[in-house]
Amino acid sequence: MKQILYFLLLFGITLTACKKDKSTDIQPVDLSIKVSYDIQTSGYTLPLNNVVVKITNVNTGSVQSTKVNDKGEITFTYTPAGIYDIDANVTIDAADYSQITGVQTTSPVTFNASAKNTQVTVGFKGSIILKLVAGKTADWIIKQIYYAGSDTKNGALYRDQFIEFYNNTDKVLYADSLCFADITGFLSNPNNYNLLPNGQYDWSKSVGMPANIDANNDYVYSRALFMIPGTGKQYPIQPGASIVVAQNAINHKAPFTGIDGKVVTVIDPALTVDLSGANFETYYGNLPGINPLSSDVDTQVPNVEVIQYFGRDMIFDTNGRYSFVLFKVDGTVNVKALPQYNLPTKATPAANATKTIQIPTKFVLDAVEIQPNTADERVAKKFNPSLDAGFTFVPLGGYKSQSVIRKTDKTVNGRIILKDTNNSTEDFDYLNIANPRGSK
Amino acid sequence: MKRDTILFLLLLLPFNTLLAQQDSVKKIVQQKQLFFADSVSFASFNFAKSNPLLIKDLIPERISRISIGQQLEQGKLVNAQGSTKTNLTYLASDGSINLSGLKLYGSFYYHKVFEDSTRFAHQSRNNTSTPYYYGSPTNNHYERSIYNFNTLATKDFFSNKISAGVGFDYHIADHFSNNDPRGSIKEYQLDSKISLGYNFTENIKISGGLNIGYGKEEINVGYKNTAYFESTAYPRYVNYLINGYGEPDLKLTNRNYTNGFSRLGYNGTVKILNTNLGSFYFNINQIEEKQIYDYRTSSGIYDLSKYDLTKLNLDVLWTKKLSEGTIGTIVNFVNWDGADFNTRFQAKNYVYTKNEINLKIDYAKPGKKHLYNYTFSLNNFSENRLDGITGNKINYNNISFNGNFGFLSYLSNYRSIGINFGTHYILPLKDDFFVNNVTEKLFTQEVIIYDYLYNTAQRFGGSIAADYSFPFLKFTQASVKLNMVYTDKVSTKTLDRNVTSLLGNDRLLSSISLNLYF
Repeated sequence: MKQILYFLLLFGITLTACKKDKSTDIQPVDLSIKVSYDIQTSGYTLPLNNVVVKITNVNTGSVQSTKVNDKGEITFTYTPAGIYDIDANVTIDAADYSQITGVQTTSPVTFNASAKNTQVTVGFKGSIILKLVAGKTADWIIKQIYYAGSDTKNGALYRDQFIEFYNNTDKVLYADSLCFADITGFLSNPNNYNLLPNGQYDWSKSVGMPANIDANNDYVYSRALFMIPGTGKQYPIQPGASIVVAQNAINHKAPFTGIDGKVVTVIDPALTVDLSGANFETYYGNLPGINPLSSDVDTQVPNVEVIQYFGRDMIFDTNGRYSFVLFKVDGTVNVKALPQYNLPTKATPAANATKTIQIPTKFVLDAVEIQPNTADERVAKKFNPSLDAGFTFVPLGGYKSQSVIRKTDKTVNGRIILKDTNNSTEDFDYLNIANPRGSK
Repeated sequence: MKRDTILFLLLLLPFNTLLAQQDSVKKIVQQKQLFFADSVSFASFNFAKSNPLLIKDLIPERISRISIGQQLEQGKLVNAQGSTKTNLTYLASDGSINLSGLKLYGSFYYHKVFEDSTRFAHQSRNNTSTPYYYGSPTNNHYERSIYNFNTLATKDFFSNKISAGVGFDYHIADHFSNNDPRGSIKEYQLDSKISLGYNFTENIKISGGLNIGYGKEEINVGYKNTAYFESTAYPRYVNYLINGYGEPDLKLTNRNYTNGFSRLGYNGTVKILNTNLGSFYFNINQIEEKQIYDYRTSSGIYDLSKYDLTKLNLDVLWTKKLSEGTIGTIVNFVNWDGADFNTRFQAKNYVYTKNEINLKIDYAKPGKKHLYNYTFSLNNFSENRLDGITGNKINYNNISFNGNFGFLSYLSNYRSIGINFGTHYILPLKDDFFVNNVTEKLFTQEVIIYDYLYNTAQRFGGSIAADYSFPFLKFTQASVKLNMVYTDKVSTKTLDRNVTSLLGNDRLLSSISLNLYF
């Protein structure tokens, strides 16, 4: 019996010895956010109590949204640590805005702020500060971008890509000299580049960049740039009408003969688009040193002026890692003479290294940030909230025929007014099959 | 090749016995079948077959069996990640033999499993406490091929003063779903046990030793329809990474990882035999398991998570011959303590605890015409999961009662027929439920809340089993067994939360098997 007792004692000791720390090192945090208007020198005060803050957990997709108090503060309690997109926005009635500021306006004014990919760390304390800035709302806006292309076997690959611009006003606008650009940003190999804390290129470190400019906030940098030709009033666009710029202004649903003399046929025409009605197309056949794609047929549709280019045609990134701006310079600036800079590499760039064109944001009419469709493929944001507080993407990803398209805000006397709050997350939807001049 | 060799050796073991039995009379062979029909000897056999230093005491000198069977389990009264319909076909064989003082026990089983409606679990079924795995909302049809080989050996030295024992347990399995998302899990585990004992007297023996093991799981999730993994546009087919016990992350790319296991622990046994109070067998097994989850590419190996799991198992078997029968009592305590190391936050995020206390009393009363078996068992089971990121804390504690009565009648010509009735009742005792509603999404609703409701549900059921045994091929005894177990939901808790999936009402298990004893 004694042995039994000894053994039972041993069991007891073992049990006691095995007690472990049964708490976790991680706890949910209280995420405090403070919002204010970026108008400190204006002399007036805009109300904060209608500002809505939304936090989106990038990894899980969980969303919380609520209004701040009249001091612009809100605390999201019991928030899991993680990576968050934090957005704030408010729209102030035109009458209220005019009364408060003395600046007469007939349209509501939307303010946005965002902090994308914000790390909420374990044990987070303090506040995240958001500065609301008024978005630029312009007469011209980007309406639809078909960057994803269609199926690589049954569709038209990327040769059916297009971009569409829209006259969102009640007056005739002229498309002449309107420019658009494919905006570049950091993608990979962080050790090779000078980067900002947000992961984007630190353009101020580019070779030859002037020290007296805000290279990261007052400019964006293109890898391809195009301009609509015209004499000034050659291409009038009616209110509520749009212009489509195609990579190739042909009906991609039907067979066509490429510049190599071979007939190109898609297996499933339903996957692609008819771009024979496009207003403009890009043509690379007359560019020096370019061997254009066989699909780069020079049709009767007018060509845009190619100011900067890469590749063998106007090919948008089908994964959505680049973004777009629509802009128009004033008479003091020659687009073709905009300064060019290398990527801000840590090593001195080679003499023949690719250069980007520096576009002043003051000329930007509209900007749309595009991102890949999955959270883990996201790239650093290129535009600050004054250009685009959010981003958009096609949910199915590349080569699935989908396009991003701006939502309809309202219809006035039969004219569609598209949503433009300067936050493409809110302003854009998508089409399952891209549709030039379509609407959503 | 290695697997085939082990299989051959293990199959050889029972057949050695088989050949040796050619001259045996049918009565002797029937006794081998009756050994397994006796609830006390069967419980003792099961108690012994994981400990090399017990096989000599509790497993007969020469006994072997081969079973082939089919089992169907269906019904939605099952945990969230279980299968609503499981079809199992199996082949199992085990046997013991004594070769010049070297006692050997070997077993082998092969399971072919078809599961319907497995959700949120691209997993093997033997590492369910892990915080790190993939899962998808859709109903997956899983197929599993599982092989298990177990060998135990023991021998006494120095005038039987010293006993040495070794054991090897090799498990290899292939699991895959044949619909999108197509999970694939390839695994192997090898565990070994080395024990050395000192026999104070013929009746008092003590031993201790080491448990050493390792293994690997390779997990991959793929798709036939590529549209499903390139976006979240088809939410049912999205692959999630569960990493803790909160809402999982989307995992759309690089959907593969490897889980490496290593185990080290100790074992101990005390035997006090043939006292006036009967025989006592004390058993302790402790294992510290380390699991390292990593992602492997040609450029390197990247740690994804770590999980440490300590398993402690204490068992006591008491057997005593009474005037009309034998009583066998097993008391068993199980404790699992698990904690992860979350590599994203570089901290411990997940804590898992399981405690289980079992008491099982068997009484077998043999007679000239009948064998009666009475079994009563109590099981107290508690499980606790903490997730730091969300603050989720779920704990439940249940007690289950089981009662069985069976009898076996001897018929002429060494035949017998047996029938067994059982009942079981699961009663929830207490629980804690805190689930962060800020983060509540699909996994919280479909798994965490659902499992809480399942684990805190009162359940009641019954079972019936029948067994017909007869001589077969001169030197074997065969039995055909039928078994049915039905469990019904009595009541569930009400929860002031968004309950999106209701618990099923019942679960039915039915099986048929052909068993050969020799």
